[in-house]
This record gives sequence, C-alpha cells and structure tokens, in this order.
Amino acid sequence: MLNSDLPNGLGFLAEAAPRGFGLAFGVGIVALFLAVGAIGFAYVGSNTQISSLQSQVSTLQSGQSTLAGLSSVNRPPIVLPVKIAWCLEQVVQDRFCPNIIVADQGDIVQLFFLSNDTAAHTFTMTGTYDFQVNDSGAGELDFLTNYSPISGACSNSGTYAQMSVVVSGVYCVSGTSLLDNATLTANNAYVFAEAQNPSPGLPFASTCVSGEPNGVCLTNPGPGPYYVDDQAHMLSLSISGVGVNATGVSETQGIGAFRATTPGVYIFFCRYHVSNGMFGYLVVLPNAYCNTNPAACGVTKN
Amino acid sequence: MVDPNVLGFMAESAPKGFGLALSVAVIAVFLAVGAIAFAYVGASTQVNSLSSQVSTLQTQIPGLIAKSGLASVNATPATMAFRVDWCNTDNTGQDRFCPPVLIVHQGDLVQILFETNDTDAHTFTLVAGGYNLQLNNTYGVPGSSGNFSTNENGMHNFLSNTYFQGSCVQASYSGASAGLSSSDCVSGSSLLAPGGTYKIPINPNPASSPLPPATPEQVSVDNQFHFIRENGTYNAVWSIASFRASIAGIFEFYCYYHVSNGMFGYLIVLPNTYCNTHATACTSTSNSS
Repeated sequence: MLNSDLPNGLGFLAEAAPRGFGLAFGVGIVALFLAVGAIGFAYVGSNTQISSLQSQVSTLQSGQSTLAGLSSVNRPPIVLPVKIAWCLEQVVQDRFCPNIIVADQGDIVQLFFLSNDTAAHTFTMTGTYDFQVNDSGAGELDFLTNYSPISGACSNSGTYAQMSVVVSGVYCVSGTSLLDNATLTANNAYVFAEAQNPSPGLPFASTCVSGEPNGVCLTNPGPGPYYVDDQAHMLSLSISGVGVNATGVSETQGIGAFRATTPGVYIFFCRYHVSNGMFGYLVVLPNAYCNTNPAACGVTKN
Repeated sequence: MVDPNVLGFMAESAPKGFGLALSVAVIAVFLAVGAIAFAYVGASTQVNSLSSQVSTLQTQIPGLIAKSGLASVNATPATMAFRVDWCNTDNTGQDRFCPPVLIVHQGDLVQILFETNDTDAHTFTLVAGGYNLQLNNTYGVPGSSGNFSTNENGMHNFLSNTYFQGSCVQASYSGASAGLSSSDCVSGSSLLAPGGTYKIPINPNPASSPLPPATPEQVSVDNQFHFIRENGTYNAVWSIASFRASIAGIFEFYCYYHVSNGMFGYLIVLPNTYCNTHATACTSTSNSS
C-alpha cells in the first residue's frame, strides 16, 4: 500500500513512521480481514450445518411422534380354542359355522372341527398354513363321487412324523403346521382350553327315562378335559350317555392345533364342498409382541 | 508476543508511530484468533448438541418400529372371494347376512357373491367410508302373487308389503358404475368392470354331486343377477360383483329392506403396509389381483 493511498486522517502515521509502518499496518489490516472472514466463515459454515441438523431433528421428531402414535396388538400369545361345526345355512348349502377365525399372531389355535352330517367334511388349509382335520368316518358319504359311501374311515394310526409331512388324504389330522405333543405340552395347549360336555344333549347328573321297563337312566358326568390328540373321534349314541350330541345324532369330532405365526388372511375350506360355498377365512392379526419375542410366537427372525 | 529481534529493524527505522501500528496489528491478530475460536467453540457446542439429538432419535426409531411399525400386515393384494347368504337361521328367525363379517387386507380385490332364497327381495348395500356398491337381488313378475318359489313369481317388498312387478335391471357397466342405483341389479361407483373370474369354482347345482359334466364352473364376475338351479328348478338367486378394498377401516353393509330387522354386517379392511409403498397396486381398478 502506498502512503498516498492512506486516508487523510492517518497521514500523521505515514509522516511519523515512514519505514516499517506499512508492514505493520498491512499485517493489521490482513489480520482484521482474517478476523472478519473467520467470523463470517464460521457463521456461514456452522449455520449451514446447524440448519441441516435442525432439519434432521425435526424430521426425526415428527417420525418419532408418528411411530409412537401407532397402536397395535401387543400381548403374549395365548392358547385359542376354536370350535367349528359343519352347518347348513338357509340356502341349504354346506357351510362352516362360524366361517371366520380371528387370532393374534403367535397364538396356538386349537381347532376342534365337528360335523354331524351324513357326508364327510374336512377343515383344510394349504399354503402358508398347511393343516387338515378330516372328519371322514366309515360309511359317511363322499359328495365328490355322487355320495358313494367312504369305505374306510380316516386313519388315526399315524405317528406325528407321518402326519406332519403334509396335508394327507389318509390321516384324520395332518399337515406341516401341525404342532407336536411336546410343543403342546410345553405351552399348556394339550388340553382343549374349554372343558367339554361329553353329551350336549343331556343335562348334567342323571336323567331317567320314565315308562321304560326297569327304567333307563343316562348319566352325564359334566364337563371334562378334551385332549388335542390329533385324532378324529367318531361318536355314536351310547347308553352311558357319552357320545350323544345335542340332536342325539352321532357325530365326528376331529382336533389338532397349529400356531398362527404369520399375520394375514387365509382361506380354509372343505375339500368336498368348497364349490358349494363351504369355505371361510383365518385372520391372523399382527402382534408387536412377536417382534421382540419371536421365539415365543414361533416366528423365525430373519 | 512480538519478537524484538525480528522486528528490531522496524523499531530502529520507525521510532515514531510504529508502536501504535504494531499494537493495532497485534490486537487485530488476537481478535482474529478469538473470533475463530469463539465461532468454532460456539458452533461446535450447538452442532454437538444437535448431533447428539439426532443420534438419540435414530437410536429410538428401531425400538418404536419394533413396537408398532413392523407389527402390521404386509401382504401383496390378493383376490378374496366371499359368498354372502341371506339367512334367518338365528333363533330369532330374523333376516341376517351369513356371514355378517368380511375381513380382507387393504388393497385386496373383493369378490362378493350374494345369494338369497327368500320370498323377500334383499340387497347387499355398502355406502360407507368411500365405498359405494350394491347388489340388489330383486325379481318381479307383472301380476305375480308374490309366492316366490320359482322364477314365475315376484318377490315381496318388505317395506311396502307389496310384490315386485319388475326385476332389477342388468345395466351396462358405464351406467351401473355411475353410482348406487335403485333399479340396477348391481351398481355403485366402487364397482369394477366385469370380466374377472370368481376365485372359487362353484357347483351349478349344489344339491347334486359336482360330477362331469356338471363339474364346478369358473364363474365370471359379470356384475349381473342370476338364478340357481336346484334339481332342475330355480329356487335361489345370486348376484355377483367386485370392488377394491383400497381404504382401511370398518364399514357397515346392510340390506336396504331389512336393516331395521338387524340385517347388517361389517366389512373390515386391515391396514396393509404394502400399500404404503405400492399405492397403485392397492387402488387398482383392474378386475384381477
């Protein structure tokens, strides 16, 4: 910088310090510029970063609020007893009653399927859930073959290893979703969760039929345990009272269990009567508990 | 501090005013250093604080997702077939839907086959929460006695205690989809175009075994009204239509004639995470899934 460039007010400096002054003055000016630049740079630079971070914080807080506001089922799995019956609706066609099952993810579903029809029926699921209860007793009619009698009942003689290979045309209860006895026992699910009246057509205690010679008395001992034994039980009218259903007609009761591991809506059907409308849906509600306790829900964590 | 040895030549050569200039320079240097330090420390504190908040929030998100976000249905939309019947098999003997509850995923293609074998006319009417659909099972014959047991008689109108003298109208899609109609057999703005195939093949004569040639039929979702043949006679009617369950929630459906008797039910559409990222698939107007 030349002395002549200095403002008039600083002229005395130039006069008083002709040598070295320029250098000191230059250093001062540069330092001042540096100071202003540093403040500006720090301000602008940090301000950009701060704005970015503040934006991230706002976005995350908004997302946090949204997530915290979501609600879902969140409870440990239970044992869910389900009793489904074959029925005829007013349209006189075969149906499941009820035809909707709703479970929470992780629940063990005990499926008790009973039918007192002259025709055979199944409760069948394939796909995500692979499970079948086949209420086919000997002498029951096969709707698919023009009501020809089924020559042999479904088999209760299979082992779990045999029955759990896949849904079977042989075994009364089958499928890869079928739970084994050890799992049922470990989860207190081997006994159907509702005690069963062995003879729904009879009141509890003794009922004696009057007018009969020597008297005939039927005894209903009252509700008792019913086991998830992966079998179909063919009940018939019995003098002891056991095995008499509400209408006094023999019936078939098949039972098995599976775990509702995967949320969603899944069809179940009767393989004989699906074309008549005998189908329904299993609804498995998502359960937040299963996210943090996958083992308890039978869920394989990825 | 200024080293006198280094700046000595200055002192010697500029005895007057130099100290002032040097002082200004030194102060300016201190100011610069201080400004930088102040700006750095101040901004750094704020940046650190915000960074800490971001980290904390990011840490909390997986926990929140585990609590709620992942606990949802995440299913590709599918075709869900329902067969909804009129029934009065409750002990009350009053008109009902069987089943009265339909549950689907958001985005599913819902096919409704509504079947009645009553002497009264019935509808399946859904006009809640953005859904607009009606299946109207009404058959009428001019001068009929109303004893509907075959297609020769007209159905009873429960609301007016009269008999229908005309059947519902098999309308074109453009007409039927304009909105809910009191005359069309199938109508409503939620109605999908005809042409899809009902997912469950149906036995054309439910009283008989579905043996060849009467094996279960692939039925077209034709948005029309039909008769069911029972051993050669017509004693039931059905209509069929489809819509997309694009909106999650619980929605009432009812029979226009018998809702006051209790003939109503609910469509439950489960929220589907899949639809958050595949909105098009979940709102598609295609008649196949």
